[in-house]
Amino acid sequence: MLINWRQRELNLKIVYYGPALSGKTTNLEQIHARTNPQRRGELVSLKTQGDRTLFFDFLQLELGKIGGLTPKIHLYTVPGQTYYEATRKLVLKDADGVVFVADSAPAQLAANVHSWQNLKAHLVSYGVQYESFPLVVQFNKQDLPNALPPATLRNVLRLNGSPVVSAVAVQNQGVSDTLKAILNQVLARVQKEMT
Amino acid sequence: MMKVLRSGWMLDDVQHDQIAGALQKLGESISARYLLLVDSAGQMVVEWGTSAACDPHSLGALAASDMLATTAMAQMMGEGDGFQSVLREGREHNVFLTQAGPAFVLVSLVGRDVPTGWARMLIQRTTAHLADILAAGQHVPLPELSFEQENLADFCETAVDDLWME
Repeated sequence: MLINWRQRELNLKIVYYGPALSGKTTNLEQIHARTNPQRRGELVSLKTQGDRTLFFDFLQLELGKIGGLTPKIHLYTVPGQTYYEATRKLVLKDADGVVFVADSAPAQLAANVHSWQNLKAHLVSYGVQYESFPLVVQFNKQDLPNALPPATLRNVLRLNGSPVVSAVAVQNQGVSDTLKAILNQVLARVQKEMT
Repeated sequence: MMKVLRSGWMLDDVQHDQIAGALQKLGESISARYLLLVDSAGQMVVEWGTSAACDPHSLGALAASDMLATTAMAQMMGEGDGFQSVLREGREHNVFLTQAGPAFVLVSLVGRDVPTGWARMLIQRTTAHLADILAAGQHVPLPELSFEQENLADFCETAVDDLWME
């Protein structure tokens, strides 16, 4: 987070994290496609030739004023593939909040758990107490015929108080609700730290 | 820089003006086309010059990530302090990425006609100066940041709905 009083800007970094092909980039693509072009930047994607995220995707949004400041939200994704571990950790650095995008396909259950544990380990390595860190979990691909129900995913990931949003990101379902939820968490933390 | 928050930084007006002045001096000295100071998360602090068609926020994100990756590579190869500067040579311009203290990166877009060594030396002097400015204590009383906690959910709801085009 960076507050620039001269510019009256509150800069925040939110990272979409999760296993490979869970829909992290799709979330940003939907946000980019459906938000006012005058209030957002271009979607920057560093992809492999196979159209998989190599380093990150990036999108900047500008919200209306709050507390006299204009929040500028920097959205990032991480590469989900296993061998990009070092890159994931780099992108996570200095994040103000994280959206964990879980894949609701039963076959991806183990990948969800691994990625979730991996996220927590990285946060701890940065000195972050993840229990109090702004975090929202999105259960994506809920339209799959055999999608795991949110209650099951919640139990498997051992989620306690983290807000959860069910989504079908490719159809734009749950995308804005996820964004609202993480913004709420992040801004609440800013407010708490300032008082 | 004053670290007033557990998770971030605040920049006061005096620091902002000092940084802007330092960037202007550097920009004029090396005839830079564009200078951009970002934090390690890629968030823009101050810019100087014209970024032309380039979005400074995207540029900041890429520059900070590039520097992070380069530093991680240096650490893997046993250079504990990391590289402090990266030079990308272009056909018309050179791009310097230079650390300004542990948490900031200066992006400098400089014409190829400017001697690289000269530009590098002045950029490094400036980043040392910027690091001092950023490390300085509070200069002026900062305004209170206050928004009603109970209204946050409403704010987020409205703010995101306002962004959405449908």
